[in-house]
Amino acid sequence: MGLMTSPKAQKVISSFVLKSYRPLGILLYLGAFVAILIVSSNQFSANTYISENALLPGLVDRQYKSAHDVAGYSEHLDTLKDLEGGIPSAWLEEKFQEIGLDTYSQNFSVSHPFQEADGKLTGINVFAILRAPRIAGTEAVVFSVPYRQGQTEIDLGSTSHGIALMFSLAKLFIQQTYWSKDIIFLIVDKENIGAQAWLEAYHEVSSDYIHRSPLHGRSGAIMAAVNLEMPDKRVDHLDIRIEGLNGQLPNLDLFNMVVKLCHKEGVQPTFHGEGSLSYHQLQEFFGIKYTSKTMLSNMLRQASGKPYGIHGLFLRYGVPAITLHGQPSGSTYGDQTYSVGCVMEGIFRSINNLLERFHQSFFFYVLPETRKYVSIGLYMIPVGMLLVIPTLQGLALWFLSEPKNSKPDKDGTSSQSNDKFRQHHYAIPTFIGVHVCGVLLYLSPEFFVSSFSSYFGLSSGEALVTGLAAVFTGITLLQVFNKSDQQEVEDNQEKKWMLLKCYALVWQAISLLALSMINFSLAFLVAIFTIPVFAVCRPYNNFIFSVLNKLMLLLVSPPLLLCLLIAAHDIIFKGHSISLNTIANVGSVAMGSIPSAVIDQYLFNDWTFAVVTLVLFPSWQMFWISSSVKGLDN
Amino acid sequence: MAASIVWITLLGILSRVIILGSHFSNVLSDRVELSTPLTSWKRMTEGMFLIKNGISPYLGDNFHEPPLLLYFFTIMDNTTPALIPLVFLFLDLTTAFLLYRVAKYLLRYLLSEQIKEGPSYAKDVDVLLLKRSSLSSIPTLVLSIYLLNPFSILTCSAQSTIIITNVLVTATFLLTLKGQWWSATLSLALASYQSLYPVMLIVPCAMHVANLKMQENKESISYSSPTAVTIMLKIALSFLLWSVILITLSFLMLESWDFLQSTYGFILSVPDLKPNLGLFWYYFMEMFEHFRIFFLWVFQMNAFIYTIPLTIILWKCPSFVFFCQLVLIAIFKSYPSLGDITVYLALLPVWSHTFHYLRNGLVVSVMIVISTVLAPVLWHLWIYAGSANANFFFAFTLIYNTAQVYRHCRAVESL
Repeated sequence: MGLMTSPKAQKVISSFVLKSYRPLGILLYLGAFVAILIVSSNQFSANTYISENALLPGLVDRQYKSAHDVAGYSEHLDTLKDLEGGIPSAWLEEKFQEIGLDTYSQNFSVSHPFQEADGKLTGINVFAILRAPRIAGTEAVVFSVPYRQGQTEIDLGSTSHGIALMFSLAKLFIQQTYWSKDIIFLIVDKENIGAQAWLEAYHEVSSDYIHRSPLHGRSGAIMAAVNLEMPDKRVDHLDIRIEGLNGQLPNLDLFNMVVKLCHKEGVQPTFHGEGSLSYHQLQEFFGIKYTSKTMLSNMLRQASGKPYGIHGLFLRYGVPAITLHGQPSGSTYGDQTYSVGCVMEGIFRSINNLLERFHQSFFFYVLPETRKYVSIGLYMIPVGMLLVIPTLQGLALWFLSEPKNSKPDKDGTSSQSNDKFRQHHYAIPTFIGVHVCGVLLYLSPEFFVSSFSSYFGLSSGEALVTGLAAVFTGITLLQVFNKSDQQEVEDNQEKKWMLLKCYALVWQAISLLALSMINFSLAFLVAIFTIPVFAVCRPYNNFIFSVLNKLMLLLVSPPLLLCLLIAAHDIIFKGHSISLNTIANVGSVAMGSIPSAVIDQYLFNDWTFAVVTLVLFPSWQMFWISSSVKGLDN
Repeated sequence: MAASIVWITLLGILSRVIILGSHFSNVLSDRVELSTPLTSWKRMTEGMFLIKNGISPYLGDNFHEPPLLLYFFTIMDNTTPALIPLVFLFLDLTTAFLLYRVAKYLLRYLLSEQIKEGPSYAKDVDVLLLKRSSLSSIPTLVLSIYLLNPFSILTCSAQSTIIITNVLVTATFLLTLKGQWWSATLSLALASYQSLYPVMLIVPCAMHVANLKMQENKESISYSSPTAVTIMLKIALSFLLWSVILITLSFLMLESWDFLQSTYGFILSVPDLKPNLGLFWYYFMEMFEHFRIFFLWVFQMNAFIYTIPLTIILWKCPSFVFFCQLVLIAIFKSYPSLGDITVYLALLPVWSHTFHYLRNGLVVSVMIVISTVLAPVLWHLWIYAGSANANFFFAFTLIYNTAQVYRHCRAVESL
């Protein structure tokens, strides 16, 4: 305590901060890069292990003997797909009933304000419940497969083989007596929307935009969910997908268990397309070449906040869930259906052993490889290093913005009494103002679509983007054309922007810290791009400097930041070179992703749009305003 | 000045009305940071429902407000239910204006003290002296801090009944400063009748009134002089009298003593361990049952015992003791919420002239901001997402309380 209160120590601290914040900032920024690489390396990331003893993966004799019936189901389903327009729910229900399960279906439809007039989406979920003999329906595990057809089938890969395998496994499961959790077999129509409709109905939550019929059959609390996407009988590897809505992740035990069972059954598990690395690969430069790329892919996916498969929506309801995505192999021989069936059996029998919910292992992690993990304790180090930069600079500006001590007049009615304090009366209203602007931006989409799309003949997506762009430009330009206050003393102007930037830096550090708790990757990526720019931005009188400064700030403004992230993804993972074509492509992807973020917010409670408009935008805006203060002398 | 007061008041009213009118009010009243089991509006409606159906709400485990308040709101609900949010708005505004008056009286008092003692001050203390100009600016600052503080806006919008304690405590402060001890003890009795802890404010209250009396009689200040002893005894007795009247009245209305156990017993024995911003829930959740009584004493003592050293050291300025006691209550009470700190936060500028050497304002404010931003985030991760756990949330309530303690120590030190 003494250190922080004695005036002497104060002076030492302030002179240290003022002297060192620049070099230290550069060091920390470079350090953060190095640190994130190091934690992803073989040397620092720990080996995964099963933390929950009850799981005992692969310890039981497998009972799944043959997958001979899968091909028949699959072929029949494919012929039905060609015949019918939508999901062949009658046939699916019939098959479940044949097996002897309680079978139900659920209708749903979606209507939201951003819909095209003719694009009303409807669908049917089919599900069947295997009532466990050893429990009174208080706990359940979900086995889900999305039903795909038409364009989605081409884009995301077929799943009919997965549905067929589900039938085959259901036949096996119903004969067993050891189940202590109900198993819900769920065939989801229309991807995420169907999953959300089913989950809302299961948990009896109502939504304004998804209209669904109630479920006529229920079971207990869902302990875990496994989503299988299997395109074909020939599977090269199973890609395990974990990233859920808003960057939420399932318990690491679930992932580890799946990896372990895949290895046991001879199916190659991959994570973001990368399999388990060999010993040599891990030794070479500590494996950074491979691990860093996988981890970056993991982080970019998590940062997007979009679910990577329908398991992502289960996570929102506190259900640990995972997607196994089979990647078809090019070969013309071989059949991995049986092995995948064994993996699925193993997963369900392990989950069946659970005595408590998944809670033992990590919930906050990033994965550099299938058998390596980086826990929160390690990955927070680079985030911490990045956040120290604005904190230190904020502190430095706080010291700098301190008014010089002017001797008060003897009579106590000092005319300069206002100078004794910092210019909070300028900074606080600005702080409130930018947040009000953020709220306006957040609320604007509905307004623009409902009132302008028909007027200008735009589609709702275009209207939305145009509207947001208009508000964004308006709010931003407001500052550029503000009048410089000639009466103000130059010294005051100097203090003004310093204090405002101090506020902005501290607020940025706090909000990114909060964000890193929810979605580490988003916070880290935003920090990596914005922090250097925010650190150097300041008002200039020189026209060229001023313009350069503004351009730099614009580059890290939320919409362009989105483009930057998409470009980074394309260049690193798709091998695009930097060309005009790439830029155009990035632009169109960004244009498409903004409306989808808004719609997802309405349908699934996706927070990305809210985070951008209510947190990132005001934060950026404060730096923009602090760099637009005029009337400086330099 | 007057114009800015009007604008600030309008802004304060507008922000409260907007939130009170929207569906956020419902969301807010469920937040643990704003509503505790003692002050939650939901529990009040539960109590009103029970009493309307002829069941005593004190037999159950849900309702902990005192009977008179319950009857007041029941009558309101029966006659004009639409006015209830307006009652909260009105009470909050009253608090703000009482604070304004408190700041005015207090500054005038401090200035007169300063003038009286002026000659005895050392040289070079100019920077620490109160200026006459702050007499007009600081009360406005106090008013605007209270009205525009997001904590008080949210508390008011969540219809937390802590608003009522706040208005009563502020009224006590004002009446004490005016020296009207008869009504001061009434409002103090009402405040302690609702939430018990303000009972400790009787000490600075009595001291200040005695102080005023001695100044009136032109005596030197000594709390053992007959004038002081008589007036202090009178205040203690009148407080007791008011309290007895209130409790008897409650008994007569309910015709049972159940309410004592489920209000004051509930505050003191802390049976409800629902997480909040305080320190109790986490410790008592972890604790073995046979240590419980001991630690209850230890924890509850904190709220009361510091009055003694504070009065010994700061006997010259009981008004500051009053302020300190408010802070201590906010930190150490068993079910604290953000609504507890709004009153003393607003009063902070009154002593701003002594803050010249007060440092770390940035550190402390950032700590409080961090904890209020991160507590809901971690609450979400713990309760809804199921990925974090109680430790995460508790870490930030610890930061919140550390910041308060730290700031308070600095404030006491700088005086």
